[in-house]
Amino acid sequence: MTHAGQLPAEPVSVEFVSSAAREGAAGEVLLTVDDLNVWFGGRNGVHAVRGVSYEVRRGETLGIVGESGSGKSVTSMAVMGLLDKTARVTGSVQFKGSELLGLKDRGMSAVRGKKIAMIFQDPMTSLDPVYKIGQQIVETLRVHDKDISRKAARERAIDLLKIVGIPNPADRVDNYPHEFSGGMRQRVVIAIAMANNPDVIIADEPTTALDVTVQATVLEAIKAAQQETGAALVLITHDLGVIAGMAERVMVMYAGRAVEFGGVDDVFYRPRMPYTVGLLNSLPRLDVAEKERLTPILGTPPSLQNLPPGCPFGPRCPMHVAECNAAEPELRTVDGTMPHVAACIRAEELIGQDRYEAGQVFEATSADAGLAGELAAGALAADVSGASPDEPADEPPEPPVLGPPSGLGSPPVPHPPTDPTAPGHGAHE
Amino acid sequence: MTVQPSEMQLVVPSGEPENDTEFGTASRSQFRQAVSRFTRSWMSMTALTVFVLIVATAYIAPYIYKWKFNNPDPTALSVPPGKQGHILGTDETGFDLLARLFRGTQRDLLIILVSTSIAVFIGIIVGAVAGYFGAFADNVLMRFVDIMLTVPYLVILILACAKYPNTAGTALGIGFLFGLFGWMGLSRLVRAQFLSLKEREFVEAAHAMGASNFRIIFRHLIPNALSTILVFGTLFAATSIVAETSLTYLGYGVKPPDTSLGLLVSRGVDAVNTRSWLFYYPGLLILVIVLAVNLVGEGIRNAFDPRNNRVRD
Amino acid sequence: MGFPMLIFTLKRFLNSIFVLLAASFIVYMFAASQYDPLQKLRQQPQLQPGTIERQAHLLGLDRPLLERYWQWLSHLIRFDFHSIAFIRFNFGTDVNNTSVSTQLATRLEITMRMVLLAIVAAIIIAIIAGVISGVRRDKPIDFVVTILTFMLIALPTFFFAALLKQGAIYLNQHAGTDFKTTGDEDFGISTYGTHSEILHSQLLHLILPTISLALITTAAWIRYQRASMIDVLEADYLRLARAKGVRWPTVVRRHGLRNALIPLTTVVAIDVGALFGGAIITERVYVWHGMGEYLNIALGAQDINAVVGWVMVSAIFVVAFNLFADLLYAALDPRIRLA
Repeated sequence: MTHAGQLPAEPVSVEFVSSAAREGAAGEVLLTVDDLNVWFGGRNGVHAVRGVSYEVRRGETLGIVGESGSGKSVTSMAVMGLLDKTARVTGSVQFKGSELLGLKDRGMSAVRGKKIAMIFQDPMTSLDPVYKIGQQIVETLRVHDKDISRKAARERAIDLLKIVGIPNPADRVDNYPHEFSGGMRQRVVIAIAMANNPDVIIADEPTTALDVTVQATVLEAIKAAQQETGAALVLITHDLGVIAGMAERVMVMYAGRAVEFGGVDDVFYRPRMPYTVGLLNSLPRLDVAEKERLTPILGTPPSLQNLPPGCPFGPRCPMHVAECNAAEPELRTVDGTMPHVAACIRAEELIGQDRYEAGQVFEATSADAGLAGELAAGALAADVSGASPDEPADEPPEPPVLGPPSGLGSPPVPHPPTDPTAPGHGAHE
Repeated sequence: MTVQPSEMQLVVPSGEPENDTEFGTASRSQFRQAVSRFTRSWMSMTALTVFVLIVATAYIAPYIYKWKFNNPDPTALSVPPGKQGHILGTDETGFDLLARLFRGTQRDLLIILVSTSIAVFIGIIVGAVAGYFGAFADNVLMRFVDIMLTVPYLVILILACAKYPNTAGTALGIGFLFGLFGWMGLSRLVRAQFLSLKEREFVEAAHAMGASNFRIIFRHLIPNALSTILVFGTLFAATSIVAETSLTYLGYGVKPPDTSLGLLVSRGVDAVNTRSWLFYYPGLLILVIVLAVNLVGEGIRNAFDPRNNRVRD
Repeated sequence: MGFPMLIFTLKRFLNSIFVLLAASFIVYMFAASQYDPLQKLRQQPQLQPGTIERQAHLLGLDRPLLERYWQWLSHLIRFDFHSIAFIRFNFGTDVNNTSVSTQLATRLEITMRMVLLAIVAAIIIAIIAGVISGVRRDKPIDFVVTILTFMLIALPTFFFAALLKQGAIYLNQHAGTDFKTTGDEDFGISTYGTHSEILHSQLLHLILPTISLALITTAAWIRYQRASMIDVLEADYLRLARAKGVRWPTVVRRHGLRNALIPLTTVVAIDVGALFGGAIITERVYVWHGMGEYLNIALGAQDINAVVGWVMVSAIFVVAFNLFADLLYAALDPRIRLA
């Protein structure tokens, strides 16, 4: 808590992070996403992505984590220009400084697969069932290089299959997708992605649909592809372990927004947003010998159809106080070895704690959830605030009330969703 | 001409049963959802309303209408529409066309009621037995279906009606025949759905709780295949009307003194140059009825299709 | 790839033979037990005693049903390696003691002109209209196509055929066109015309019936092709193809259309029996002397061999078409070949 006083009180813009990162890291900036917004379904539609910004550099790996429905896949689809025409996209997506948003099919096709390639979630359905895998790799080669001969393209396809670790590539090149297992098919998809030496590879949940046993080898194949091409990798997943092993920086998404963004060590060991804290502590720890209870985040993500004002994580947050309902918190710089931002008005209270200390708030909540979740949440929030004496003056400490927080008079606080049938369905039912 | 609904067109995704399927609740809540989706579609509701109105008129109006279908007006032979109090005119023997259209609609409703119930009943039973028990029963039944499908539907009907004009060639007889030879498509669909449904957890759970095969089929599997059955039933009803007109036109279907929409329009074909109203009005009525039934079927399919409210992540 | 395909073909072929055999048994038993070819004879006023029995014996009607079926079956197929088809069917003789096969061949040739042309036209229309409707889903063109297909599905075959005929007659009278509305060729042209004159006349007579049958048939196929196209457009592999940098029109053609065509083969195969039925009706409207007329005559005479021969020809057509569709399906979809 010692650094808390030195933090800028006003929200910082993302440009701050970007420029800071630009000085710190090597490699040219390849992909810049700025204030990306995506709406689905017209007027009363879903605001699926709400002001996401990031950039990636050559050779770097950026991880994007979040629950399903947090907008992480939609973000990458928007970058690739692969969303339905019914989706409305605003903001900016730049590749090496040139704008991609608003490009027509012709212009975007020249970028896709050549400059930015993508690996999709489900390898079982990603490959066209009626063409041999060789033909499908050759297609991506020939569409960007009209001069390459069929023979050369085929040779290259075999090489690519070899790089991603498919045995007997010279024979397998003439097989159909249904003759491969899921893991092998994902390798083919990776081979397609790296075929034209792209500058950026976006991998959207590349191992989610696979058996745990083959996940590691597929990740190896992705790493091999990245090394081979020197591409920047945007790795989207809900598997924190994957991010920890592969990424340098990580962006945590919740309800269509980035809620925490920083170096992977900072975010994983010193999370400053309660959602990240909860996410990390819902994983089993292998480094602790005794049995410990896992602490789930209770409730479900909010509907993106009509978000209430205030922090979207508020209803599920054990640190929730009345002020959280006032306005949606901006990303603000917090402590860290690399630029590190978090969107929580009470981030300062977590400073100085590691993820396990911070995670204790969740343990207590989930333990009492069945009895009086609301009460416990209020009490614990009070506890945490009570333990932080040097808070900024504009945030008066919560009195340790043991009653429901809604008794404070400020806008009615949504119930902590201890009841899974309570309103607030995910947008993806 | 499509005498039977193309079975491939009828493939309705059964919908992913939700987590709580142990007691078939998913299918019931899915049904409720489908009903609400159906009622919200103006197209489906319009079609249903039109159909209900036509049926109601066909049964109620004859009590009010001055002319009877079996009582010709000897003073008005071949009267064009609107003359001498005959709203849609008369035919060459003085029968009032509108009165005959009421009667014809009634007869066609009888036909589709009989044919659809029989076809749906046999189709479900054969499909359920083949799909649920598999192995030998499946082999025998599906081979039988193959054989039944070898001879064109219309040809089977012609063979039967030509031999027994007084039993098969009546409204009731045609209804029976349509049902008896029209169930094969549904049985294939039900079989395919049962094959995949019986592997699901809720069926295993029912087994584990000691439910009998009979109970599993009727309480768990058939409700889950409901969308397929409903859509088939609706489209089969529509094609039954079209098939009746075809059969009657070829001279093997309904014969006077009985009447049907098919008979009216078939006789209208011969009179098209001299008494064109006898051709166009029955044809128009058939078009409207069949269109309405088809749109209802389409509405049911859409209401059950879970892809309607899919949002991508 | 070759070997599994061969096994697949062989299996489907044997299955077809089995199904045809079973169908022939059922149809023969039905016809032979129910129909009475001598009913005309019986109605004659001065009948010599014993005439009926003699005639029945001559036609073999006094023998057991199974024996008659076996007789019929054992003479059914003759291999003739001098002809192109190398198989000749012998369906016996009709009540007038002429060969059923010869009669059917003439009739079939006439009907098949319409049927095959209509199938080809219907498939082409279904693909074009279905794909456009699916790709431009919920756009005006989709709306128009959908309305038209629903109308066509709702119209009885003969009603539509008669409407078309009326329209053509109207045009002939008022616009000076020369649509052929009756017959399968100009009357008597086969006796005096040259080869090309006959062909020309036949083609002109084909126009209206083929349009009528093709449109009535294609309506359901358009709906199906549209649904199949929409399904494929949402497929993951289409998204990957776009992510590879393939342009949208190419993606639709190379990946979308290619996959969306596969299910259509099944639908066409299933509907081909109905299409045969539709041809009979269309023939009646346009007064053709094809299969439909022959069936009518055969049924009127309760002619066992003629009826059974007729039904078997339609069954062979349906089964052969289904076999072809199965093989086409396997050729289009690599996943089937191993199954």
